[in-house]
Amino acid sequence: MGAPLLSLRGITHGFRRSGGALVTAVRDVSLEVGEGETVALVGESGSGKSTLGRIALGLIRPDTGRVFIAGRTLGEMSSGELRRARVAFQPIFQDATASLNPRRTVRDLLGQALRQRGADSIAELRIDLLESVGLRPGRVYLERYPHELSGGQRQRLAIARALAMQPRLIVADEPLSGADVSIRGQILNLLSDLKKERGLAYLMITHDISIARAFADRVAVMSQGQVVEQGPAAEVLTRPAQDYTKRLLAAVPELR
Amino acid sequence: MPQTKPPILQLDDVRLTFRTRAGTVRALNGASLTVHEGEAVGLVGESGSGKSTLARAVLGLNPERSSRIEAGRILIAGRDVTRLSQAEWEAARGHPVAMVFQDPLSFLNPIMRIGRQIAESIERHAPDRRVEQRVGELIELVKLPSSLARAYPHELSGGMRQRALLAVALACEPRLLIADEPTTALDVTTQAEILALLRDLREKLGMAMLLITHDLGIVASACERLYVIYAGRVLEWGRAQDVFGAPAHPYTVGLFHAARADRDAQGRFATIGGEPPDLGETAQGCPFAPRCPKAMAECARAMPHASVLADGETHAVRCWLYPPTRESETAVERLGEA
Repeated sequence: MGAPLLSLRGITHGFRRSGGALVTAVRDVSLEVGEGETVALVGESGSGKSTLGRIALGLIRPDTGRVFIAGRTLGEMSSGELRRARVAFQPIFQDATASLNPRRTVRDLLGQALRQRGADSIAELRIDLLESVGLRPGRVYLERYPHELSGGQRQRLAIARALAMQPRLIVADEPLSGADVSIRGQILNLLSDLKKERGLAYLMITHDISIARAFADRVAVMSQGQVVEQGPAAEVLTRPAQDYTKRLLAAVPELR
Repeated sequence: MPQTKPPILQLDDVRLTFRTRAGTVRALNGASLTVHEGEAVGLVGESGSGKSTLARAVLGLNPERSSRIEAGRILIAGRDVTRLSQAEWEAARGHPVAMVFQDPLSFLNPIMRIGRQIAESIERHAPDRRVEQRVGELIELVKLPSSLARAYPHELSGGMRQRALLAVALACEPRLLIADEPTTALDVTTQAEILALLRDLREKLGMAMLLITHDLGIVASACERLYVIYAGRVLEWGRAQDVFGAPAHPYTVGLFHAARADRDAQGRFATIGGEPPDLGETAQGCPFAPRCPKAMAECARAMPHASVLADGETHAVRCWLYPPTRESETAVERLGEA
């Protein structure tokens, strides 16, 4: 078997507070995501899960530890390889509104991403992308601005823009928190379809246990900067071994 | 069970509109709801359902210039507050109804110490009380350390801020607490603590609660009865055990599946098709019909009357799939003496 798509080894990272105190956000974390695999990173706010997601995306350079992409560290790569490695990991955020430039139309937003990737026949690809995320027929959306779309449509557009880069891994930070309950299923189905069709892997950062349980192959539970437990989702989230995970699960108001 | 006292809150067929630059928005399209003394009631809805508008209408908090109650009435402990002026609201607010919000920071004064804010609330509603002692009692009641009376809101964590806001609200000694998504911004463990505190407070103070949320799990753990609201209309209501045991409206059923991230026979995640409704349009029939997997011709024509589903009239639905109950509609909509 080849090297995993993403491998984080012994990652530690701290921030300096405005007062000057150093806060360790991530403490000696090791985590892998294989090709086509879905890993959920669950934990409460301040647990370090979003910081780890940003490290995976190359947006933050960790203080110590190493990030391997398909077995190689970023330091070993040439600048061309680095650029390719960067676009291979794409983010989706909770608030699609904040990540989409409000002055750009759908046509511009997708065109910009496709040009950045160096794609040909942009007009055609743009329509394909829109339709692959369920915005059909694609052409009716081209001249719209983000605020002219519904919340669910905006999240689909954000996903389309990530797909324009032909990523192999999507780091999704609370992608469903902004969506109404009734349309969560639509987004989850879309993410599942894209996984099947394109062999995408996901690192899904979420505080929602039911979504992690339903969607992820593996789960890593974070608390105070550390991964306290990881393993197959069905196992960790039904028969947790660690006290912290047990407390976390017990706190979720359960629907029978 | 015969009710000797009037319900602490009663909404009868309330229609409320907002005037916006884009036209008239019908936020409430005939919403009816009852909360009895001491009872915990959930109001479940998604964005645009009108749930927060309903809550604000109960306290006269919707903007006077752009919003209007077109029809129906709101009774608080039997008193009609539908047409109160802003000045009358100023005098009435806080007692017997108080409210806490999702984001305590937007309500708490950022440059005033917590203790002082609680004291002001006491002075407004019961000026003859020994204020300092009462502040101490309230801080203890919401389980905050007494030293936090001297803290400013920004120095507190999210959960502590919600406790502080609760203390300000409870200073009015309300008989009904309206909690609008009180735990949505909080982590699950903090959420569990706040829900436990609310339960505890209700027991101690005998206070009723109207808990507004999009989260069915929270209703399951905190409420005795619930109402499901969609596009400004209540589609289903009843005792929590009845509605959870056998949800009747296709919207409620879909909501349950979606909330549990259930999958269908093909392994697809359960979902409700389409988008939440546009409240600018006049919905003649059931507002859920365009998204409903079981929609029939009648559904687009008119909103059905209520059908009582459970013995003892503890569960009802407004849906053409169920035979209407032959009582006067208001009698049915006022049920809930569970």
